[in-house]
Amino acid sequence: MLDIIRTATRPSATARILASLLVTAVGEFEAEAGELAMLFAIYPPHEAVDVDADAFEERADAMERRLARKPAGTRFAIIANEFAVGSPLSSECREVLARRNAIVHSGGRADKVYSASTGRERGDQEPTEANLEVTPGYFQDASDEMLIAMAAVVLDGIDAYETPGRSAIVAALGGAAYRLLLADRNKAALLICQRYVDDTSLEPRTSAMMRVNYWLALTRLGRGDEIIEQVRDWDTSALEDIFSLAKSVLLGDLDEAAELAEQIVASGATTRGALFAQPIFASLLE
Amino acid sequence: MSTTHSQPDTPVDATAFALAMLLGRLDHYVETQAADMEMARVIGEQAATLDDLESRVVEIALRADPERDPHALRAAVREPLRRLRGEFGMSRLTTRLTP
Repeated sequence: MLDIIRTATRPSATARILASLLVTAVGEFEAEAGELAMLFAIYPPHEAVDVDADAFEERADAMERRLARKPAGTRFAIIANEFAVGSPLSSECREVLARRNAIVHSGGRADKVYSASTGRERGDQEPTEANLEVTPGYFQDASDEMLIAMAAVVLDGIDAYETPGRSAIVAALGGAAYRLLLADRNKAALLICQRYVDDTSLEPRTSAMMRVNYWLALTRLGRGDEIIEQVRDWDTSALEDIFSLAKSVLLGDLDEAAELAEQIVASGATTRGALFAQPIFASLLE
Repeated sequence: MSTTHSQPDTPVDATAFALAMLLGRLDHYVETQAADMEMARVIGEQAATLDDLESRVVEIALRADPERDPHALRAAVREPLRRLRGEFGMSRLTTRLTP
């Protein structure tokens, strides 16, 4: 009888599979945090890199011992406090980790550990412990939170190393932002591009790409009204035609954009396939 | 935990190496998360099928609870057959087995 009650009252198959996927995603997040902490231990940011073999091995071994069996929150705190890179995890991200623990250790119920970790006290009148479901929407938000935390550390890390080739590195980072836009991960793309929107040290093309992708991410997040004046005032005359095309699309001038797209393809600057594969120009095909 | 223990030759190269590693980690994580999200999307699309199938099984199991109805085990046999008859037209088999 108990088995039947347990079967009838447990979360649905979908919720259990998504909960399992969340546990996997948190594990991946934890592993990445460990890899980043190891990287910063071996190549300390904010100081001249010491490549002495003994010191190198010693730092790696010491950090490996410290990271063993430590959760992601502790790993991010080590990175923030000891290497001055990134910041401790946001409350939203800590809630994701606490939910993972509740799924693994408490059958997905908001126990006292969950409440203490998240600061979410349960009401006195609540008769039973609440179920912590993982819906598709929750999984997307959780994944975004972890992605943003990772990206923030990488961005701070790039700034923390002294290097003459910064513009090239930021251009490569623009590639990651582009892939995030392709995957519809707009919050993380926004975080990356926003940092370089007003960076005058970059190559004009890199700077323009960051600007367009920042605006595109904001528009996709339903905040296009905030930047419409900036887009309108953007002077693209000294840039390649493709940026004028991006401006027309962002302003919603699709007839003008379609005409410009035909001219760009006719000039041989790019192919029709390559042009329309870019997320910003997909609307021209609709 | 694994780590890359290769040693660059000069401090300048070491910085470049560290930056390349940083970008590589972000790229790897973006790919991982994209794969996870795709899996979540597929699970979301299959949700109706998965949950509907499971709810039918639970329904059958509850009907078969001997403490609620000592004769209900028959239902546990009959119910799937009724569904099969509906789905696949196995009337001959059902007729033979129905009590």
